[in-house]
Amino acid sequence: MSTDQTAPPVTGIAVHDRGAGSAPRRRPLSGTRLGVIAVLVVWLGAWELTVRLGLISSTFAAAPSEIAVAMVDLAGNAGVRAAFVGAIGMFLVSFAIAAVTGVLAGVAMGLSKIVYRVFHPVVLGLFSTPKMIFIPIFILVAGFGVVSKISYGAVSGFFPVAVTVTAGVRMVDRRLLLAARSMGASRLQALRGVVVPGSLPAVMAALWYGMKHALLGVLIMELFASQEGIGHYIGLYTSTFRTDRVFALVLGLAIFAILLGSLWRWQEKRLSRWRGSHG
Amino acid sequence: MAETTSAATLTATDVTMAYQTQRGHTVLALDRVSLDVRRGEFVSLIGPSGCGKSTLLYILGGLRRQSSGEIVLDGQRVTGPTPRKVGFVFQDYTLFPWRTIISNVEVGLEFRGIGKRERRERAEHNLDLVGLGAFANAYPSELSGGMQQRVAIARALSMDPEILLMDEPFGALDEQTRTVLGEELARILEKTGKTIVFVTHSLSEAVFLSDRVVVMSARPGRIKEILTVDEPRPRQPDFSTSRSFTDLRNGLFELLHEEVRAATLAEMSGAGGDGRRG
Repeated sequence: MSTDQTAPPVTGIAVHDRGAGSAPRRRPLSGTRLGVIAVLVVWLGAWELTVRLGLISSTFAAAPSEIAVAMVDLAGNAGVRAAFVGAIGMFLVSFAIAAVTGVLAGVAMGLSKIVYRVFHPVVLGLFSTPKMIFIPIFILVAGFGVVSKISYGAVSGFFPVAVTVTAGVRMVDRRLLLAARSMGASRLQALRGVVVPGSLPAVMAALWYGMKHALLGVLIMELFASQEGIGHYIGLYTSTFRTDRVFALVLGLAIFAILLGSLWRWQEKRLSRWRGSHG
Repeated sequence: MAETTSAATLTATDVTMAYQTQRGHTVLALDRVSLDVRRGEFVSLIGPSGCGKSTLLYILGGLRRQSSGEIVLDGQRVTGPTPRKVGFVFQDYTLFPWRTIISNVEVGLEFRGIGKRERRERAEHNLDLVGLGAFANAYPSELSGGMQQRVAIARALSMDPEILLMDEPFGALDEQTRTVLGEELARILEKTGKTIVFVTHSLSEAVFLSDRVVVMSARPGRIKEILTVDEPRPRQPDFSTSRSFTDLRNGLFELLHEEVRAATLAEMSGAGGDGRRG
């Protein structure tokens, strides 16, 4: 890919700038953003109120303010912190495994007709099977520890990556490959110059699916089989009716997932600037 | 016919192309086609759709392998692409959408391993030649079809081939753009002195641009007749309203009409018509 472009394309920039005078340092809040904030505020307020008024028992749903206090509380708890770091670590390892193996398998299936015919039906079949039904087998083979969580996360992430990358590589425009060949591109040059950039949007989407599924896999396994870790804490606090803490833990995980998503979308946008119209 | 007296540079001898359809039928796309293209000459291939004219072009450039027969380029047998001697311009532009215009024009030189400075210089020169120097940093999606095809021509020219093979380069464009681009092409080619083989559907385009027009028959593709256009190049726009132009165009129409009729009837009755373009 070329890295030597001097100016970004003009069409990719969507600026909602109605303000006159000198350019403001901070972007003004857009209407959509204000709307989202308003909905959140109303929703949290209603929640707080229903719990405070006793319409919902605080045994089942802690109030937002209580959850906030619990979050601060738990952040100071070394065991919980270790559990979080552990879960994120396991997720990163399983995602790394899923990404590398999934991309390799997808590229192989996308490029070679023979590999595609032999393996694609199997991969597609397993992709459509709910992986949950294999959990007992994972526990049986790998026990309740780190290994079973990482391997289940990696397997969960592998299939969506492999299937999506396969489709992406197969959808690379054959006419562009022919053009590259007419200009004397070697196989490697065609791969680097056409297949890689041509399938990059699909690969990015594939990794995003893989990330979501790997995280899901690790967390599901945490809930199913945990003598330590976040799953353990969630189970413990649920059985002792500390819903404030349960919500605090879940919210913590949600925040992590959202941050991951935003990071990814930012990266994706940066890499596909040539698609212009996607603002 | 300025420089067409020198020896043939590109020769096809008894080129036959047969392929299997998905249902297992064998289709004969080209049947013992022989053709000489001389240095500096502009040759058009014209014929009903499915007559194998594009296939012949791809075989001439080594992008497809013929079933039998031989292609010889400057005394050497062609068995694959020869980007130093032969450049392609395709119907659907085939620019790389993720590269800027200038970087698209450079890409062939990049494949060849030419250094960045020289690459950029040659690309800029050829982009100026097709009149698109101002769009160097745009992306293909920001350009019109006609502009994209001019970029594709600059890309082919920047590799400095002796021969340019063009597969219906203006086929996807409207009549007006097409006419103007044809005149542009005549102007550019006069500067570069390339040998051209040009596949087209347009009778006017063929007569306006060519030294010789090769008329092909409906499938299996054979050479039916070769017309010579005796008009000095570069052709001026008023050539297209002259008497000789009209006569040639009418002659071409007569020749093609029966072939197109035969091809269309064959397609309608389903005999060998599997919808593939030739």
